[in-house]
Amino acid sequence: MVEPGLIRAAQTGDRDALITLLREIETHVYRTAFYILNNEQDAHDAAQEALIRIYTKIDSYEEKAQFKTWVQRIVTNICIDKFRRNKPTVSIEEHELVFQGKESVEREVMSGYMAQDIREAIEQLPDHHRSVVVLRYLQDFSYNEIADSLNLPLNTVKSYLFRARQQLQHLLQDYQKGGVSG
Amino acid sequence: MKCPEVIEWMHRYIDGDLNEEESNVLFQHVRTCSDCAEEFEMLKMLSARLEDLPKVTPSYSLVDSILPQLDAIDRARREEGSTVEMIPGMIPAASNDNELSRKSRRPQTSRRKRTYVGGALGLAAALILGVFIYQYEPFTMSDAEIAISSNEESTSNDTGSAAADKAESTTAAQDTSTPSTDSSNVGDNNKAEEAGSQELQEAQEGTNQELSDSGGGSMFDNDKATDGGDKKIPATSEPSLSPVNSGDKSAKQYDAAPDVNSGPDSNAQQLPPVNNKGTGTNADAGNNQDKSTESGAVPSDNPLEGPVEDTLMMGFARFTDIHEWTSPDGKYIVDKQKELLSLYQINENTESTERMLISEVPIDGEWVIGGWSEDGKEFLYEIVKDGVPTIHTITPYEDRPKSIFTEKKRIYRE
Repeated sequence: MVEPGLIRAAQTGDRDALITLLREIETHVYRTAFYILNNEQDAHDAAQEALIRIYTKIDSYEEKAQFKTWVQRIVTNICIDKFRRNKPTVSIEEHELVFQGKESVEREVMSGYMAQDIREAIEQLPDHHRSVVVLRYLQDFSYNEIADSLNLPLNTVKSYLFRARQQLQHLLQDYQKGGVSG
Repeated sequence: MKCPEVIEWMHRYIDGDLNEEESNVLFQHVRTCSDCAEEFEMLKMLSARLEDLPKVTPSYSLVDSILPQLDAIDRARREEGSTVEMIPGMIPAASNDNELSRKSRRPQTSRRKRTYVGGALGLAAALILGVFIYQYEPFTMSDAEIAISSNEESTSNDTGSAAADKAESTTAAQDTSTPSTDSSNVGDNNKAEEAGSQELQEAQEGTNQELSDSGGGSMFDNDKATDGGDKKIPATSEPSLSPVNSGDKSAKQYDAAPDVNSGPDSNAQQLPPVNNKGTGTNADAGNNQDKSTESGAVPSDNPLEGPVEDTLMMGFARFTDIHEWTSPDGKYIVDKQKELLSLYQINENTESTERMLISEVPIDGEWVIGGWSEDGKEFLYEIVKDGVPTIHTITPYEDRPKSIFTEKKRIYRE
């Protein structure tokens, strides 16, 4: 993703390198913010804040971590901490691991998903679950990379991701049936 | 192999976490179990949908839009390192706020509002000076007051040219600093803010413009009125405030201060940021400022909804090294020493104000920001430890004296 040489140059005080670095990551930073916050304006604000924080904290990045996970940690933290306080989410327990899926109706329902529905459903996930989904699907992160980004144990990442997907299925079914949960 | 286990494997398969052998076991089961087959199909479809989510991109270059702030950070760093880290949080929010609230709030011209805006801007200027002076120990707020008051009377003649001069003498990134030094823009809050980290001179001018714009209801006026003849503003324009070349400007600024400072006035109390330090004597005068300072120091839930003055205050509160925060009702003070946060109860007698230490807590990390919540019931502060920010709360009003200090970890934990 980002050249290690560029990062090192940025860390040694090469301002141009640091700016170049920020330009390379800004889309990734924004994309995560957008899907966590589900709001363009907030995403711009959060992403800008994250970029500024990266700019000021570049010295504290250590190479033992992947740069992209370090970046994503910063942006997810900002999103969750600053922009999503007190926003309601559905408790994951409400949709706890119930499997139905026998009727073929549900297949049709599944195929009728709209992107907007998915975004709304994602927004209803609890913060950590949503972050895991975003990193998995929008950043193509592996379990390990997600664990590093969110400072979560590997097993927790897996269970969050699995539960999140199951909850998304149920939320999306609710949308399709006309009854919106949440 | 049982169905629930198979379902977990389905998820792992989708994430590419199964090896070939495991995948075969999974397929084998799915072929013979219609429920699982159904589930597998749905899961794959959901996953495909998630993978197809639009790869959104920002509608404008985020890096370009923060370049002025990055320049400001650099400048501040060159002058002094320690306050710089506080800048990032506030700037984007603040600049957005300004535009929004300017549109939506114009019609409100209540006196209180004016006072707040004026106060915020006055405070902004004061805090900028505070930062500035803070760099040159020992800092006494009298210095800041002198600079401001003299500046109040000496502006306007050299507004545009000074700003322009400064822009040219600024070493780095002149191109990007242009917007902030555009003197036609002086009425804008952004101006003051930009300038805050940029150049003292500009800051003062920008702010003074603002003060007159907002109808003169400035905090300083209030102070003067309420404090009575107690404290006089040392008038006269200081030569040090006219444009000087960057290098020795700071030194001059500082040199100039003690001369006037030798007067008998205790100007410190006039300055909003140190208002909390003033004991009972100016409690009334301090109310307004206290309120705005305190609520402004708390990171608002949604910056877009936050009033402009709050954001400004928040920004500049972060700038300076505020050590004390009085609760809105004046009953408690939180005092920050280097590594220790103390909560005091204030007992006001007729003659003096006493503090009673209620509790102390070590600051376990790098201090970011602190302030009373809007309802005044909690003191919130943020620290960063090992790169992880955490929010902590002090709740003196709850009837649980043993657990006054609580900690809310909002960051990822197991």
